[in-house]
Amino acid sequence: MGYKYDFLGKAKFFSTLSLILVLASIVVLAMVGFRAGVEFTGGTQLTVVFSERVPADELRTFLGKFSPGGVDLAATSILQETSIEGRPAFLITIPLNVEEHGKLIERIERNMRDEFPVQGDISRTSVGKQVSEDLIRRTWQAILVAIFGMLVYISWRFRLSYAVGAVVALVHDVLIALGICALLGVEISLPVIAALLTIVGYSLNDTIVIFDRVRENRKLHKKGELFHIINRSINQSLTRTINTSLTTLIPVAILLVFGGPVLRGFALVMLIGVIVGTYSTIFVANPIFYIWNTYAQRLHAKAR
Amino acid sequence: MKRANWIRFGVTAAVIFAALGLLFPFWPLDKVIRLGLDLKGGTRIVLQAEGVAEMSPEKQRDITSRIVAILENRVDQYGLANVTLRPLGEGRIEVVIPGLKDPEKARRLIGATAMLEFRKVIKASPNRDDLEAERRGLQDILPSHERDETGNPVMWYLVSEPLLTGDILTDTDVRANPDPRYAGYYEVLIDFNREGAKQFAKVIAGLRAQGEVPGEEGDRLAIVLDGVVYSAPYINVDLKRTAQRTGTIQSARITGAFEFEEAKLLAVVLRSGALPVDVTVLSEYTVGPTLGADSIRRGTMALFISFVLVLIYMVIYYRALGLVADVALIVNMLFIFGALRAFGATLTLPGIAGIVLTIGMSVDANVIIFERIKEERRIGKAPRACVTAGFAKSLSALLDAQITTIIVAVILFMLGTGPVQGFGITLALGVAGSLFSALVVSRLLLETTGLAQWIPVKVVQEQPAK
Repeated sequence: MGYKYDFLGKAKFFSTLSLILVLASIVVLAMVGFRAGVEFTGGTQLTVVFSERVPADELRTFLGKFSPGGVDLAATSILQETSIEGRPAFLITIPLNVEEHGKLIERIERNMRDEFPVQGDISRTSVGKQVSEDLIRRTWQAILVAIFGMLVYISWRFRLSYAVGAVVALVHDVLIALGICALLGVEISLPVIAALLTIVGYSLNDTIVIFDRVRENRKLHKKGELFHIINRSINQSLTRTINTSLTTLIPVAILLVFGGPVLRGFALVMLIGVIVGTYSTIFVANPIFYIWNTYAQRLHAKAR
Repeated sequence: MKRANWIRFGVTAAVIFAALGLLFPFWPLDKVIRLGLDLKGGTRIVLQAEGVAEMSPEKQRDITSRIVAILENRVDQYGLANVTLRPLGEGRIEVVIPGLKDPEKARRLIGATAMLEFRKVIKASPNRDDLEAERRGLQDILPSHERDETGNPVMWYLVSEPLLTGDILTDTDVRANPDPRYAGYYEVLIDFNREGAKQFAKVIAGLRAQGEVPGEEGDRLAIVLDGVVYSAPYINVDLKRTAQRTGTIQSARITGAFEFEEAKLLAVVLRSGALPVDVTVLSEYTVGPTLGADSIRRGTMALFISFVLVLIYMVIYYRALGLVADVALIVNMLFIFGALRAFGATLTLPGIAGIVLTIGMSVDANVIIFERIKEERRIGKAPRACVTAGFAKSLSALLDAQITTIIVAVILFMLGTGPVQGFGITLALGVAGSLFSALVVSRLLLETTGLAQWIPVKVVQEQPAK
C-alpha cells in the first residue's frame, strides 16, 4: 500500500490544533458574540454616497441630534466607511426599526441631504421586529435542515460512519468561520448566512470526493488496513484537492477585492470556509471516520 | 464518430446555440437578464394589515385583496410603472417598485390609509401641552401637516369627534391655488357624492360662519387625513347660506401650500379611497441607482477577472487538457446565463457571487475526471481506454459531491428573500451546468479531438508499503 505522505499519522497533532481552534471560536463567540445585521436585529441601515469625503465624527454629531425616547443615536449607530463608484460612502446602521420610527428615519434622511453633500439616492434596508424574528427562525431551520439533509444523504450513499466524519468536519468549519467573523467584527447579514451554508456544501463536497476514494479502495483491497487505505485515498486525491481549492480560492479572493461593501462579508466567510474546509477534509473528517471505525470494531470484538 | 458522441455533439451544439440566441445582444446586462432590485435600484416594501390576526382566513384574504386593489389603483393613477403587489399571507403585502426616483413619495403613496375626516377645531396652539388639559371624550389632539425646519408640526389642533367621514367623494382634482399669497402652489378639489354633499351641507350649517357674531371669526373646520390636519379654514358666510338653503354642497377644497407632486399624491390617495384597515411598514429595502450600478460593475468585474484567471490556471497546469476544461467552463457560463434568461429568473448581486463561485466548482468536475484519467494512464492503458475508465470511475464522486451542493442551493432558495434566493438559483444552475459541461462537453472533446493523447504521464515511483 504505497503512498507519499502519512496524513493520518499526524492526525493527533492536527486534531489537537482543530480542537483548540474550535474551542477558541466558541470562547470568542461567547465573549464577543457576533454582530448580527439589521435583517436579524431589526433596525435600519443606510448606504449614503457623498460627493466629497465627510468625517465620521460629523455624521455622528449629526445623528446625535435625533434621540427618540432617550436612545443616543450618536453612540449606538455604527458607521463603516467605504467607497461606491469611486466616491466616498458610508454604511450607517441605526438601531431604529421602521415599524415604530418610519417618520423619524425619513426625517434623518432628509436632513442628511440638507447638511451633507449627499450624492444621488440614499439606499436603505429597514427591518421591523416581526420580520427579523421570522427570519431568525427560518435561518435556524435552514441550517438545521441543511445539516440533517447531508447526514441523511451521506448515510444513505455511504454509511453512518462516513456521515459522522463529514458532519463533524462541517460543524468544525462553520464554527471556526463564525469564530473568525466574531473576531473580525464581520456583520452577519443574509449573504453571510448564504456563505455559511455554501461552506456546508463545499466542506462536504471536498470530504465526499475523498470518501468516495476510500469506499472504492476498501472494495479493491478487502484485506488492507483501514489506516493505510485512508492515507492512500487522501494521497490519490491530493492533486485534485489542491487544484480545486486554488480554482475556488481565486474567484473568492477576487470577490473579496472587487465585491464591494455588499459582498465583503460573504467573500471573507467563503475564503475562510474554503481554506478550513480543505484542511478539515484531510485532518478532521478522515481521522474521525477512522476513529469511529476502529472504536466500532473494538466494540464488536468485545461483544463477541 | 461513435453514436454516443454524435448525441453529445448535438446536445452541446443545441445548448450553445440556444444560449447565444437567448443572450443576444449580450450587453448591456439589464437588456439581457432580469436584474434584481439590488442591481437595478428600486424599493421593496412589506406592509402588514393591522388587526387581521384575529380574523378568519377568508376574511384576511378578503381584506388583503381589497388593500391590493386600492393600492394598485393608487400606483396606476400616480403613474408609477411596473409596480408589483403581491399578498404574502397573514395580512402581509409585498410591494416592489423598480428604479424609483423618490422613495419617500412611494412610501407615502402606499402607506397612507387615506381616512378622510372633517372635524371641528376647538382650540389651536403651537404647543401641544396647552391643549392636553382641555381634551374631553372623543376629542383628539392632531398635528398640522405643515412642519418647521426641524420637522415638528407648526401647529397642534384640539378637534371634536369626526363630523363627517367615510365613503363620501366621487372625484378629486388638482389645481393652482387662486390665492395670490400662495402663488405657485396647488390645492386639491374634492367632489362629494350625493350622500357626502348632503352630509357636508349639514356639517357646514351646524357651524358658526365668519362674522356671524360680529367681531368673531367663527368656527374652523379641520380637514383631517390619516390623523393629520391638512387645512383648517374658517367658514364663509355665503357657503353657510348655500348649505342652509339648498341642503347640499357639491365640493370642497383642501387649500394649503402644496407643491404640485404633493397635491397630486393627495388627490390620488383620496380618489382611490381609504384602505379597509391601517397598514404598517414591516420592512423596507431601497437601493439607489448609484449603489446598484456600483454592484453591477463590481460583480461583472469580479466575474470576468476570476473567469480569465481560472482559464489561464487550467492551461498552465493541465496544458492541452486545460483547454478542454476551459471550453467546458465557457459552455457552463453560457448554460448558466442562458438558463437564467430562459426561465426569466432574476439575477441579484449574491447571484453573481454564486456564478463566480461556480467557476471554481465547474473546474472541479473536470479536475476530478482528469486526475482519474491520469491515474489510468500511469497504469499503462491506452489513451482512449483511459478516458472511458476515467469518466466511469469519477462519476460517483462527481454526483455525490454535486448533489450535496444542490441540496444547499434548494434550501437557500426556500429560506431566502430576493437576493439570497438569487444566490440559490445561480448555485443550482452552476452545479447542473458544470455536471453537463464535464460529462458531456469535456467527454466529447476528449473522445473525438485526440487531445487525450496529450495527457502527461509522469511515472510515479510508488513508495514501498509502510
